[in-house]
Amino acid sequence: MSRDEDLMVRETLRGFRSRRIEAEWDKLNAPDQARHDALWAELRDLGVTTFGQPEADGGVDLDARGRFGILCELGAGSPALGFTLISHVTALMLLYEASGGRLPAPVAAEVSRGRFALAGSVLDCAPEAPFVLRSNGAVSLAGSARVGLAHPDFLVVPALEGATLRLVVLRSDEPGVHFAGGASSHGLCLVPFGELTIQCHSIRQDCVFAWPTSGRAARQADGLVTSLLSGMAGELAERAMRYAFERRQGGKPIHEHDAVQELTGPIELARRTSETLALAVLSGECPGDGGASSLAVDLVRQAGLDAVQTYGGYGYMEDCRVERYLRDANTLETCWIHAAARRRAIARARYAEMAG
Amino acid sequence: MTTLTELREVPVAYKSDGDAMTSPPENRGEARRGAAKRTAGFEPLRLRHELRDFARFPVAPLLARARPDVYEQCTETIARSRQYAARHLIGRVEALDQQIGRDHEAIPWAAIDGALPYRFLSMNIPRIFGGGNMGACATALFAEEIAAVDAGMFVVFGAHGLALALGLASLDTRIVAKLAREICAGERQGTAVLLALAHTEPGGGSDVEDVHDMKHASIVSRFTKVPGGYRVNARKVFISNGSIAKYNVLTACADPSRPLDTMAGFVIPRDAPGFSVGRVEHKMGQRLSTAAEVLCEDVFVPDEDAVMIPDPGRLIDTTLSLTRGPVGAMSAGIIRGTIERTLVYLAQKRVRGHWLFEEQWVTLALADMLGALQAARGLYMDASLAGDEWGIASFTKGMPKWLLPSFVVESRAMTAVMTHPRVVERSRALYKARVPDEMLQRLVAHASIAKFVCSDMAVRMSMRAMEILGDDANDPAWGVEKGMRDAKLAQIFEGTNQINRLHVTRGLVRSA
Repeated sequence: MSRDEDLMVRETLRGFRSRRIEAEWDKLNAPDQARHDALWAELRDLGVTTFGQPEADGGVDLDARGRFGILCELGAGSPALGFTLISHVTALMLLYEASGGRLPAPVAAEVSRGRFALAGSVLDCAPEAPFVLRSNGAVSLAGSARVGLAHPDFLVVPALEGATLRLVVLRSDEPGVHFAGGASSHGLCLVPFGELTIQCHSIRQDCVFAWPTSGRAARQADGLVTSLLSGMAGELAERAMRYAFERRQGGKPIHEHDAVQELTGPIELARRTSETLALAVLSGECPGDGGASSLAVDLVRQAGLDAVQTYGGYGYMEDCRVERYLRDANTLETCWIHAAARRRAIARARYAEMAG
Repeated sequence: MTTLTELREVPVAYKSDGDAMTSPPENRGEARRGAAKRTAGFEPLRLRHELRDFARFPVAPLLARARPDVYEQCTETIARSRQYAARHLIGRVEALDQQIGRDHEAIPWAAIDGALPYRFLSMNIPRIFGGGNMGACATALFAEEIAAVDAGMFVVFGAHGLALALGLASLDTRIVAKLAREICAGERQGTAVLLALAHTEPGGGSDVEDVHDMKHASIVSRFTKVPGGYRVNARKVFISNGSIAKYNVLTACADPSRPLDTMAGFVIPRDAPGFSVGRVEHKMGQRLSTAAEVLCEDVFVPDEDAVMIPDPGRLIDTTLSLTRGPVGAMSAGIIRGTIERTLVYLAQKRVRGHWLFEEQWVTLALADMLGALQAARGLYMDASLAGDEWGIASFTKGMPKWLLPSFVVESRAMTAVMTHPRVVERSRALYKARVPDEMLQRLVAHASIAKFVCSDMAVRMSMRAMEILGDDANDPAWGVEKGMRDAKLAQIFEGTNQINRLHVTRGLVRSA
């Protein structure tokens, strides 16, 4: 993708944001399938939902800056929609890699229009699967997990068969699949969160694959989540600094107070750092081991706290918007990123290297 | 001295007739969650922490020896607060938070009315006016107890106390007596007479909480003298209890170019012609407490309902010395509630064949949370002990209730004496002699330290707890994420933490 094409994608998404997201901002704070479906359909028509699949199947090949641009714009507009998109592209990337590009017939028929979701964290290249696969003639899948699922058509489920990790793809409306989704009490509220319970006794053999071990999807997800966080940080910086520029307290604009500069400076740094990290991971210059998103989420959560603090009482009110980014960042942390666990994993990996 | 065991069964004065929530909850939150979430085949762990009982505070035995009156008030307050929380809040607040999240104008009246028999609305009123004369330590412990269950619910009582604090800090006993009469009568009759302090304005936030910045603050609320009283025009925002209070204690100034020098307070009843409630805010947390815009359009306030303040700077500092410590204590309560809810979760959560509680990183995180709770308590108890020694409550406690029989103290004649302008003036002079400005600034500084350090820790620790819950953190049933949403406001109200920091340096560092 050329620089011009990249700018065009971002310009298109900015138009989508001002036309659809800004106009409906108040209504995007609770699960609403019809609204989510409509927004997703428009994103799909804009051609930004297909970078997880090969060009032969209607996918688009985007370079690092292109993928960053899409997620960054969604992070600034609606992190919940970005969450859906990352889950979708990661699920598809895993599925293509696992199947070697030979998708099961029912999946292949709908891959260009269907919505996919991964039943777990997109950052786990070797997930601890709460689902169990058994083969006694018929293949059965059982288990439950708390996940966020934005009305997908297909689920990509990590499942253990004995000690072996498998990837299972199945329709979300298949008998035996039940998702008790409800409103998140914290962030990413457009996405329903709840218990996904699977008790399927007739999984198709051609829908079960070995779990891909390359870690490619997780590495990309690390970059995409960091891009999403970068967009959130950018929006927090923009809003907090604009407010600080206009608001007066104690007889002068609040941006002239050292206290406010100490709050808003780090928000801008969070934006810059997360952008640099995201691009480095997406372009392969930096390992996508979850380190980027774990660092970025800590920065963005603090940026959210600082932005609310800059606004004072206004920041605490839901219609001010900045508090929603804070809640969204918290929810990204707890449902996908688990920053502390990733930092420990990075340390363990380094010690393993040192041990030879 | 009453022991803790006896106090667990502390009798309440009476029961409100209109109390719809006295029956025990059908499902306590923990039990319901336990049944739903418990790992199959495993009995939950039995986890409790040792930092719940006041008797185990390091300061408790010292306090019991040095100030048995304060100690007894503290233990009695804790017992009363726990009884109230068990009957009216525990197992309900998570659902109320969600309900008000959907309908932000809903008011938790059952929980508010349920507090009337416990006399929380009159607890800070001097005994001479029929109240509980609760001191700073007991007030802070009350804040921790209620906030450990729900910080928003504490703010309902805290905002009421804040309005009262302005009256007390002004030592205008006329106003205190008037409000006290109604509040106490309301408690006896089962009607909540709530107060709100309307001080923040659209253009004035942190600066109106700061004596230095207030000189330049942009305050639009104004009053003018008219025969028999004052005309008030005002717009106030984010007023906790503003939409449900029977009286808003509202500040305005005569000359907007000199807001600090010309500020006065006005007691405005909800049904005053020209008074109205504007927008009710949709808050991120502390949802059981409402925050609203209040508007006055040519509201007439009679002379007797106005508080003319001879030294507004001192009044602001005196009020802050009373109100910031409890915000620190509320933050400690949020930390404690977060620990208790996290333990409920950990008692039931297994991962990879063992209890999550057994993982070292969880042990470390819990240690941080327990450490934060102890640190927070140390800070708010320091501020509160200073308050009990030199604060306004120690001064009002000296009013003559204990010397005279109650029928004399509460008689009209005594009220007339106590509210006489010369008595008010003399009281102010006596208090200033007892607590000179420099000492008052030290009290504000200690209260500010408690406020900003404890609230910062509450935000950090509640986010830490969310990390322990992971995927389950945004499940409202656990109530842990609510702690984070609730804690954030503690960094903002009563002056942002940035303003609080300025007060600390101003109060504790002087040129040699």
